[in-house]
Amino acid sequence: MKLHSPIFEKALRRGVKHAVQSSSALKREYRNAKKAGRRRILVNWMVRPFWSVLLGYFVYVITRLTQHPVTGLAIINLWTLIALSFSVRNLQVLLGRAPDLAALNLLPIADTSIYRWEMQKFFRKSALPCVLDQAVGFGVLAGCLNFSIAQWVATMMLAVLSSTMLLALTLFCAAWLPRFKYELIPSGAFFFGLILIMAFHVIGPAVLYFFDSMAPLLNLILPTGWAPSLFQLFLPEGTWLVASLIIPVVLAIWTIKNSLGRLQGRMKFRERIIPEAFDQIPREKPAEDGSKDKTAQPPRLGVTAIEEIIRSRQFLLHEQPQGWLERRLWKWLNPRERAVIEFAFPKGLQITKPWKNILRNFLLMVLIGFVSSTMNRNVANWVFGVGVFITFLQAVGRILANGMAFRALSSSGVRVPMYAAYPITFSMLSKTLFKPAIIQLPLFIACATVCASLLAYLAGASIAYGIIIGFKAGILVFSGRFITTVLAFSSCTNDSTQFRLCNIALVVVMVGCALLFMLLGGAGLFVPDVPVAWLLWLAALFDAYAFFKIYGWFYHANCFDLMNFPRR
Amino acid sequence: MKIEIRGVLKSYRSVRALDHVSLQIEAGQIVSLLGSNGAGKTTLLRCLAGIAAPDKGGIYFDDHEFDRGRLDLRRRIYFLPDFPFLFWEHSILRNIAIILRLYEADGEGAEGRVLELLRDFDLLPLALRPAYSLSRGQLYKTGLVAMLAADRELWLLDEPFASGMDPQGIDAFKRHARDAAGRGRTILYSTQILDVAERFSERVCLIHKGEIRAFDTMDGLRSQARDKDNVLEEMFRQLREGSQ
Repeated sequence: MKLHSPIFEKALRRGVKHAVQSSSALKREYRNAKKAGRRRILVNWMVRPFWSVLLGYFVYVITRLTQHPVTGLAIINLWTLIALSFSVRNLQVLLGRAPDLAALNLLPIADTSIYRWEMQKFFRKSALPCVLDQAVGFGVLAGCLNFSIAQWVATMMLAVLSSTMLLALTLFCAAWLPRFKYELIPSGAFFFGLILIMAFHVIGPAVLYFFDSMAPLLNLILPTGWAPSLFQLFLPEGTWLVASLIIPVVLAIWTIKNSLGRLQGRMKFRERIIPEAFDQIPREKPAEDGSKDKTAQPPRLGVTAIEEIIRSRQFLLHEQPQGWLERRLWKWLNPRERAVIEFAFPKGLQITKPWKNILRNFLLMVLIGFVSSTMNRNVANWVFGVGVFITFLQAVGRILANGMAFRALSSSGVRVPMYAAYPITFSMLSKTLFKPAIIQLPLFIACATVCASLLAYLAGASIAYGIIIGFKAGILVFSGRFITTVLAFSSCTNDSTQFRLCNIALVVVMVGCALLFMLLGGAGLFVPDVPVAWLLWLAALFDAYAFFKIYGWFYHANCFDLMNFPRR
Repeated sequence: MKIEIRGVLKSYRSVRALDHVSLQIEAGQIVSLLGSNGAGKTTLLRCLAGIAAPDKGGIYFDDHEFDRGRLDLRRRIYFLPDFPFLFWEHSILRNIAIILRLYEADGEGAEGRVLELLRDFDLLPLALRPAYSLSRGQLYKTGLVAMLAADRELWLLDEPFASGMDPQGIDAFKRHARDAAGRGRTILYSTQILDVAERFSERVCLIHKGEIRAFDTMDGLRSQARDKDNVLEEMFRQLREGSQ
């Protein structure tokens, strides 16, 4: 599809070509730009297949270890689930915040054309990687099972069907479940992978056994597993009952048209009256009977009322912290740190309420777990496992929260973090962000020990062992705050994109310290020799602190700019 | 605040954005940075604000060497980029309050200053509106109000006259800037509009390909020019011819 006149494009191309050919400087620039573009395409073509190969490797290893192709299918299923979450996020960004949307909306182009243009971009970008992943995953399984040529052909057709199913699910999720937090899936997988790598020798076999036993159920429960499950039809022990999964797969693909229509409807430009910001006047209270007049316009204050807010210094007053922990934190902070906290969390820092939510979710999970244990032990184990994982992730999210301190905004072609434009230094911002984490530390340690004890109980280990591991893991995650703070600072700088001695040294030190932290942390948790384990654990804490201090030194030595450059 | 830039060199990959720039600006001056697109104006402002780090050379404020860790110096500087850094979902008032607190300028009298400035820049009726609902000019005015209310010793402004502000806003900014310069504030801004640079600033600094080509008062530049009525235009013509 072309959004503009092909005749104009042709004339423009001819004009540009002529201009470039007549100037040596432009020729040089063109060659450089072309070289950079080629390099970028080459990197994309090399990096993307690496992920598919990684999937193939996982499928191969798990299938070999368990001797069950169904478990290999479950790996494809989980991989597809993660791909689905990325795919939905990409689609949402393309339809809602694509860089060209603002410009396209200003041009005399119909909404439908803009929608089709963005959808084309999405399909072009996601179709090939999607098929590649599935083909490699199924191909590895087919290779392991010494398939005939006819079976190979059928396998590749299944890979295409599975990719179509993934696209259908992406459209369905984006159209009907847009508010779901899709980023939780890859971040959960990342943390789980990290824990698995660090503690493979201890929990690896148990996790593998558990995963192997639950693989058929997993393939049935998750929609991303329905199409891969059809692979069982090619297996000698496969049952024709599996063929019934073709019905939900076809139904899911059937929803594509509806989902596309709904997505298109969402993209229509709608004028709306923007209400006053919520920060100076309280939100409108609902009527006593709970009804809400949807046709009513949002309230607006007059100039006199605004003047009164300013004269009375109401806008300069600090909002009083609501919860007990927030009040403790507020007392601990000095006025300067309060200003920085307000900058980082302009909507107000909430601590008590999220922890109450975590506790509520945890208790609910325990309750469901115990009820389900009376019916099926395996289901109860799943509930406890997933519940502990989610609880721990939520708690980690609280400890590592940075608010908006590192939000980067565009300025003259680069992205600059907000703090850089204001008088906020590295040490001040990091110190201030540490204080809320320290206030939450006792709760976090308690959460980690309870979760670890529950897991120890389920795994048949002693509760005392669970408590010690939980304590150590809790402190390790807390010390990871040093590393995540550095990564947050690094995310909006050009510290790793310049080819200079100083920057190379910085990258080497950063990568080295991060790897050492994972290594020492993992060893500190699971080395059987108790004194050595404690020493390694302490070394991991020291490594995290050293990482932070070293980065601070590079920061103050002006080794990089507080801005990053967009991709060329 | 006195600014001294000594031999500052700044490169982005193969591009030399600032090439051994040396400059001295006395306190209480309004200086306009002129130059073509990509000449190095914004890079110079970013170096002065501590966002970009010079590869070589040094920056001194009142004879104190500046680096991004010097909070005492950074609190005396206000950098206003071409697109103000605000919290989009928060109101103008809330944004101003957060910025004033960061500069510790929220003491007695702040409310009066803010009220007067919001009136001056026609922002009072919009004061409770979220930043994302404002036009580009209104956003820039919000940044200006915060800057004027904070009243720092050095103002660094990137393209204030190409910010989408209406004539009243530009007029109000000029009035406040002249008044501030009279009180000893140093104002350094980049612009492409030659007329504004000629009439509004006391000194003009012309940058070309990262090098300072001229830094003088308008009278000084006029005395060297052949076309006395179009001094800056002539300089730009010469630069263009020189680079071709």
